[in-house]
Amino acid sequence: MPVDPSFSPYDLEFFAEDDVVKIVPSFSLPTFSHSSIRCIGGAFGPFKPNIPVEVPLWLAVALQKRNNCRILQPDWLNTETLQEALDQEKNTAAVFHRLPFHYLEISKILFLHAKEAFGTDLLKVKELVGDICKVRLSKINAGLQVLQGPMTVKLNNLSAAECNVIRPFFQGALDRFHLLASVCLRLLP
Amino acid sequence: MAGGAVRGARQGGDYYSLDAVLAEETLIPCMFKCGSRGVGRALDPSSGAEDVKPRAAAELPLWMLQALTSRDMLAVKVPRWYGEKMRRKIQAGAGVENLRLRCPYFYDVALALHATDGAPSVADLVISTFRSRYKEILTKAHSNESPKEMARIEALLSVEEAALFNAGRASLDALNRWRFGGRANPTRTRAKRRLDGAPVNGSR
Amino acid sequence: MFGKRAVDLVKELSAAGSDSLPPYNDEQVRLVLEEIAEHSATLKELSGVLNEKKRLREAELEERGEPSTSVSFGDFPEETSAFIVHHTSILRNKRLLLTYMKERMDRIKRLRWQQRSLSEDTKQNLSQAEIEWFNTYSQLLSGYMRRDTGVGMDLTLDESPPKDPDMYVRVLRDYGEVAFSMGSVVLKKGSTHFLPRAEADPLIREGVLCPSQSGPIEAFNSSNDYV
Repeated sequence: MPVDPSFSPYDLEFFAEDDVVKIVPSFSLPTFSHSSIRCIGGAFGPFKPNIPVEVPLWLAVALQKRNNCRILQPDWLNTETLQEALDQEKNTAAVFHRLPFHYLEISKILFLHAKEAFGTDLLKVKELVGDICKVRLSKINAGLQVLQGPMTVKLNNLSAAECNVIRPFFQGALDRFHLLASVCLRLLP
Repeated sequence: MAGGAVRGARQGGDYYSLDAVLAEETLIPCMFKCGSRGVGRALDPSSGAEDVKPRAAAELPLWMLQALTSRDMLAVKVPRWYGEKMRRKIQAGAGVENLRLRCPYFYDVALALHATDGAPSVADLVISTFRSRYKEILTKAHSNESPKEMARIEALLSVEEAALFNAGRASLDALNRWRFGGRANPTRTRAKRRLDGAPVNGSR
Repeated sequence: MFGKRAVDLVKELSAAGSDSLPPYNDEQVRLVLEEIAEHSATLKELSGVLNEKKRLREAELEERGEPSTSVSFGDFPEETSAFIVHHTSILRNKRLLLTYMKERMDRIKRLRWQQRSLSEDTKQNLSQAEIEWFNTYSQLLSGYMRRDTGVGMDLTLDESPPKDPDMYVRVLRDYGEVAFSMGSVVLKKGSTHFLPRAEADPLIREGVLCPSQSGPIEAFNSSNDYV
């Protein structure tokens, strides 16, 4: 029964599965449509052994589970790029580094289903994603602390999971500020 | 007439809300401007008289006020938890005040009073209270305190603040649970067990 | 104070927490209804007194040759204020009773999504009307989920949608060869398989299999062979 209108992290993970990743298929798909498949989200393919192709994450994972493909490491999800992102996050207090909207969801799925894509870097990459998330959450927290009334707080480039984690509190606090201020407009700061 | 006005101002959608209903039980110090026949003992069990005399003091629940004040039959006084003493404490920093003890529905009662005809408004006081406590609630909700410390903090908050505090905690917990493993919706099984009183048996 | 009994009902639910359902408090509900009846009787009496007073005052004014239309109930604040107190109390009691019923109904509705039927323990906490309501709601929902009259899917089955029609399972005890839709599999203790969710489910409930997060390491290694 739908009681809770907000998203759970699992809902967001589901949305993230529509994002595209590169795979190397180990099969070919001989169909009339040039060996591509038509899905609600678009047409994907063609699938030929050893020819990299872009597919939605859900399809990549489904194929990988059945040993029909190898998922490739996305170019933003490697040690150098992430280390750079982490440094930037740390150096700029007010600005958030631009990461894929579903970076946490995608990396979680890949860490689980495409471990071998990361080779020996797996632990290091995992750790970096964790650190980035930690730094960003504490920056968000600091950003929200300046709220003094029913007004805006500028937080750009937040990811889906980050928006989601602050939504219940932030929305509730804004509602409360609004409620209190609306009875007494002159008391606004 | 009646009842409507207190919730009418703001709480129209809260007719069935447990919290809204309970907030309106808060007793507010009042003074009858006119006498009232036969309700003395019900309104004040300690009074032996059947009738309420003019200028008699009474503590009436919030839900009773508007029907009487709108007809100029009742004067509402400022409850002590919005009094001068509280005002001074807020100015000195409201972070440490135990609102739950003073008035569990600190903000909603103030809003309802504000909407009541002829009642003194304390909106400015509660706005500054919320403004000065907001940051603390946010920081603590997202901190890594022990469950015991969290419970201690929650006990200091008004019901409205606690709802916010717990919402903040729950979403962070949900994120961490998702990131570091565990099943989807683990709370559901717990809820199930408590609902039917029997242990959960297996999958469905 | 008026409305005290009714608010105790609501407090009962509030204190129990939104995940539990305390016994239906028949006795207290009856007392609240009695209180409402008392208020109602007092209102009738007060209205009689007020009308009588107003009539007398009007007659008095007419006798003196003064206009009598200006007489209102507000001229008798002692009775009017009492009238308001009783009337407001009736409305308050009504709201509290409705809140009590509605909150219970919402919780009972949630039960239907968590379990197909009411356990004996739960049943004892429901009133007759609530049990009937549960059954009616249950029929409605079942009808909606049936193949011929509705969507043909058990919507209460998966709290969150399954990721994949197939799932990884680990074998907990030797079970021999089993025929699945995609072929037969020998279920040997400790081995991991990738099976159709619907077909693995009965075996999971039996304790033969348990869901596993991901496949065996060999699966990853063998996938490299294709490259």
